[in-house]
Amino acid sequence: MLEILPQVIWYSLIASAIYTLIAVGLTLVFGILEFINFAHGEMAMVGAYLLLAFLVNFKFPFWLAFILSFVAVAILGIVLEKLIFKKVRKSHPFKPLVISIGVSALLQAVVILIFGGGVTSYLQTGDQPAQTFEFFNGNLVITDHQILLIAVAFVLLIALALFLKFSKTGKSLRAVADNKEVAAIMGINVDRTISIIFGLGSALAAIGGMLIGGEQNLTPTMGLALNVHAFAALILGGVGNVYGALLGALIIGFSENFIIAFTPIPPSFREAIVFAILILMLIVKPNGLLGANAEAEVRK
Amino acid sequence: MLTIKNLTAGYGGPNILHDVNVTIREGEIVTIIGPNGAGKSTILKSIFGMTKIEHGSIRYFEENLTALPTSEIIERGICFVPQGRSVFPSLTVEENLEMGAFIRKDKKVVRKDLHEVYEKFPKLYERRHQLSKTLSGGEQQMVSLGRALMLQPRLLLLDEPSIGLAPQIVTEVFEKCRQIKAAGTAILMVEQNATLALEYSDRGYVLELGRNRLEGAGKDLLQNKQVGELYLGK
Ligand SMILES: Nc1ncnc2c1ncn2[C@@H]1O[C@H](COP(=O)(O)OP(=O)(O)OP(=O)(O)O)[C@@H](O)[C@H]1O
Ligand SMILES: [Mg+2]
Repeated sequence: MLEILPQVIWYSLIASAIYTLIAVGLTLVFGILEFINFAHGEMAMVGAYLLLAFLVNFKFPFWLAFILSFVAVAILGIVLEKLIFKKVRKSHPFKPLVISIGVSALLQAVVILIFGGGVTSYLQTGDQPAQTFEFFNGNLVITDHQILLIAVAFVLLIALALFLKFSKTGKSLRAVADNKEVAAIMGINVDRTISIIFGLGSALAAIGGMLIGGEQNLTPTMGLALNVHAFAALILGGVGNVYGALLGALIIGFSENFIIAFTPIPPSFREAIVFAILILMLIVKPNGLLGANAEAEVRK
Repeated sequence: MLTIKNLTAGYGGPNILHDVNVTIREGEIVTIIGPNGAGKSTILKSIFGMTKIEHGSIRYFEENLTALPTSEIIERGICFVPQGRSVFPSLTVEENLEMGAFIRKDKKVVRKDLHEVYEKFPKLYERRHQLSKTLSGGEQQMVSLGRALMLQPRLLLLDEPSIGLAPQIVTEVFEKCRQIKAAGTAILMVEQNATLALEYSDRGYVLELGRNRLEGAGKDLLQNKQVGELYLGK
């Protein structure tokens, strides 16, 4: 039993890294607009499919396909906000939430039209098989792609934290999240700030989608499962808080992989496990682990 | 320096202000008093383009402010401390102050602005790395004041700077206003604490139901019988 422990830890880390990349965008949007964007997981899905198209159909080199994909998704996020979410910015948060479910379905439909509804994978590109490294007498197998995944996620999250803490734009994002009206009185352009949030969050989600696409198959509904995990992560950690999203993602990533590895519960129960953890935690700590004032924020 | 003339404005529904006139000259402290809901805050918000103006004008040194975006208004030397706790709670004191100089591009100048505000508010320097939400109400009000002074404005708009503060702190806030005025910044303020505000003011306006009711020198309004009965509790 114990010999699989290193591998389970490694898979937990990978899952947590992906969930964090997706959850930070959700939490940034929530911090400013106070609604849960159900179309956010679709940014990951669209990013993964765009990468597939650029690699397979256009035969672009990987780095170019990667950059084009996340830039395109960043623009998609900004355009969706400007065309759709901005119109209901002043309404009750229920409206943008329902609209985001519609946007999510629309994006899935578009992807199904273009790529078909089936399962696809980057591996059909005929690349050389992944290079692997073994540790603990072969009990831990790591692929080069997985190392890349963890490294990219790690660097991006540190960069995001530094950006939010020290850059002038980062500070203004936090100021707008605290109080839009007062931020506007300081001469901060609130519309532009919200665009930055959507662009940034969408790009991070797209990168998460591309990275997980290297590990699993792509399906047009993959965004939904990712969003459920990211959503659970940020509720656990406390909404509107980037470090909370990271903490929540670690808890979700580790507990789901440990429960599936060490209990008879089958892998098809993944989502059920996530919600069970979520409900348990909300009973114990209703505001999330780091979100002492989350409830007050929501009611504000 | 600022002339509000026949201002009729609201928030899209019925008008809140009706033909309101207010003037501020350079170096003055002018206070607007009046009951809750009279439209005092609405006057200040109108200056910052946050209301729908039906007619009337807001002129600042011969220039019409009503068509300008907020950043341009700030650039011309008008800063605004809105009503209520207006600090950014999850930003540190220093980050709050930096936001006051958001429109400045030059980082070096911002350092200099910061330095000057810390000289005026030594307590803020001690607490510069503390999250603003951990400060007392009085300290938060000082952060708001300091933040509005980052750009050395020529005109400062204050919406109820003394609200919710202990009497001793209230005096401290008004003393700061006097110092700000002495340094050459005019102040247009809205206050519930009418007696004390008028004592510190050169002139005052009484607003009722969105209309000018009375105006005069601060001292005269303090002596005025009607004002005394209605707002000073005499
Ligand atoms: N954003 C807004 N949208 C719609 N109506 C508003 C808005 N802000 C204020 N009002 C209305 O405008 C009227 C005047 O409000 P205002 O805030 O200017 O009053 P005030 O004199 O500052 O009162 P107080 O002393 O309570 O601060 C009130 O009837 C209020 O309900
Ligand atoms: Mg008011």
